[in-house]
Amino acid sequence: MRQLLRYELLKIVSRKSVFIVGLLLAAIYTVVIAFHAEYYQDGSKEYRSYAREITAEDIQRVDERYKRSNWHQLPIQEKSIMEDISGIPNMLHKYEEQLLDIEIRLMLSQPDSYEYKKTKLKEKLLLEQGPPTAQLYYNMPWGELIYMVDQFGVAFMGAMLLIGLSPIYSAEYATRMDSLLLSSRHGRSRLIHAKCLAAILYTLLCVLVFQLINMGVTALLFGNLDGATTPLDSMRRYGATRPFAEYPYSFTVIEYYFIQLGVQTIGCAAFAIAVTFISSLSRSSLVTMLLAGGVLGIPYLLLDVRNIRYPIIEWMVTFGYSQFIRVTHLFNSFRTVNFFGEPILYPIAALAALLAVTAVFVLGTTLLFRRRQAC
Amino acid sequence: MELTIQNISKQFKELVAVNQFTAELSCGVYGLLGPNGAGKTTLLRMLADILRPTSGIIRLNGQDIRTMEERYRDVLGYLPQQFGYYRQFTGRQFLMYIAALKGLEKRAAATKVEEVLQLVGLGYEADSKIKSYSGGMRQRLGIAQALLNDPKVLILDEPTAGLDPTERIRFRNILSEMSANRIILLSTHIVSDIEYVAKDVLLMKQGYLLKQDRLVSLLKELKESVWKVTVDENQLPVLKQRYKIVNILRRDSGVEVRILSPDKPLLTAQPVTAGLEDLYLHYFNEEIIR
Repeated sequence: MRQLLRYELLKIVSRKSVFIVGLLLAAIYTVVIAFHAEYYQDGSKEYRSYAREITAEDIQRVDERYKRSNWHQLPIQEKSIMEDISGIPNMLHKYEEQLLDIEIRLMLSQPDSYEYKKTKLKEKLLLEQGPPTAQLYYNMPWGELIYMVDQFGVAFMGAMLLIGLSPIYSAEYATRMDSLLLSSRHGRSRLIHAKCLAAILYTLLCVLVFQLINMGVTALLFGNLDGATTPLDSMRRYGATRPFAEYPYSFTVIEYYFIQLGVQTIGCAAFAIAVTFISSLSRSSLVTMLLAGGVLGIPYLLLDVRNIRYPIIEWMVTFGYSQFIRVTHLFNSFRTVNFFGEPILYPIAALAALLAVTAVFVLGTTLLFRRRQAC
Repeated sequence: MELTIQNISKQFKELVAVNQFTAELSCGVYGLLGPNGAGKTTLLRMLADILRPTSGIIRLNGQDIRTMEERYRDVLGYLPQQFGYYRQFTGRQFLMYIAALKGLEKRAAATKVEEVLQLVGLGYEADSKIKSYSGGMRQRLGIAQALLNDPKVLILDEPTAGLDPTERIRFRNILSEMSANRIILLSTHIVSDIEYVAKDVLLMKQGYLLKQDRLVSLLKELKESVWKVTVDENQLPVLKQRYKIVNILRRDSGVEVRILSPDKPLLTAQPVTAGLEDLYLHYFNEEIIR
């Protein structure tokens, strides 16, 4: 099995197209970074003097300075500190507002109802989280790093998986190698598992390469990766809003990074299996690529890029592969799924659904190839 | 070892590619002869367990190959008529991959790969990429992969296509050496391959088995049916119209014509010993590739 796996993996990575697309994506990534160069500035020194409880005086001073100075001409680090300080009252207010909303909802709903259970769950999570601390945290490198995974990750992983895995069965059919494979002892059994495992290993390799490059470039440009143990709700990029300001969990930045890494890896592996399944249906790698590309890209393009909001599109995106590769939308707000009257946290429900669909695809690929006749 | 093909048919929509084919094969080389579209490749694909018969059954030593599954494929070697290889692999990598598919352990596979590479004369190019191989080298690599698991049933679809005469002779010798304890079924248009190594010949036309017999017995049927005669150039069109012409050879003395006819075509015609080409023309009335 190990030998089969080795050669299946070799088949994938030795394709020239994989190498070329990898280089092309690296070039695009470089261009994206170059366009974002102004955000890759170390602000740890500037933030250090505010690594304490922010007082009402601090907030007042910032408000006054805001009125006096030309906001837009300030250095990005200073501007960011002022934004963070002036945003603190709003953060505290939002937290209290959410608890108040919970209280009202609990009063208005039946104790055994789904709505009630859902609200109770949110209350539990929020209380566990506690009110946001009135403190400034410097974690811009992580904000940028996680942002790149969220934004560029789908394009990178999608392209690499499509180019590498679309031919996994299609090319065997097109070159008539299927005759040889199917007439061999393990051609209808271990080979299928080897191909699935090779697809997953290739995925892990792509995730690893992308994460290492992204982390390396971020650390290099910022000069550090400070802020790993700061609370996730405080994390943002220069000039951007906090993507996790209203999330109901209690992660530190580094904890979330590993969660994101894990979920993205699972999402990518699941997509790899989906590509493998589609490939087992088609003689043309191009058709496989277009179909699988559509599965990944259409919901993402419609909602995330074009912001076209219809219930069906939102539903498709909710359980779409792109969400698992981006990860952010799984965790940035409190969402549950009604499972026979019980509220299941959305990330858990989505992952369970993804694993179930993936298991069906593995089974489907196995049955299809096992029964295949080479004409 | 006995491979029994019992009434197998294969139908693709309207087309019946193989029709009620029945044969019994024991150890030795069998030549499968037939014109294009006779259903040879379809038959071989069913024997290679990659195509299911519409009806009928194939048994190895009395066991249905469909229930044997892996156990059948474990003793099977198959060379398809066409397949693509992996251009980015070296010859050795390709064979190691096929060996893994056939269930050979890594160390045993490495030894066996080296052995078959030497056997087909590819040892010196084993570590070159397949994309640099000539057509003949790829064909030899194809033959090598079929032999990796020491198959008891070897199915070869046009194995000598693309091989030069030396390579064809080498291949025929390999087959002869191997045939003692295994069933080898060989489909080819190159009749001389069969003439030299086949124990039995199976003649196939339009999906049917026309005949299965020893080559000698089949050729006996053509006794006094093959003639050689030297004629003038202007007599040739008449002969072509009236008889099946096997061969035309222009000499200084005139045109030497080999004719297939139950009756003596001309008074000067001399009977000659029939060969497989004459047999092929007799049954299929088609051009021969020598």
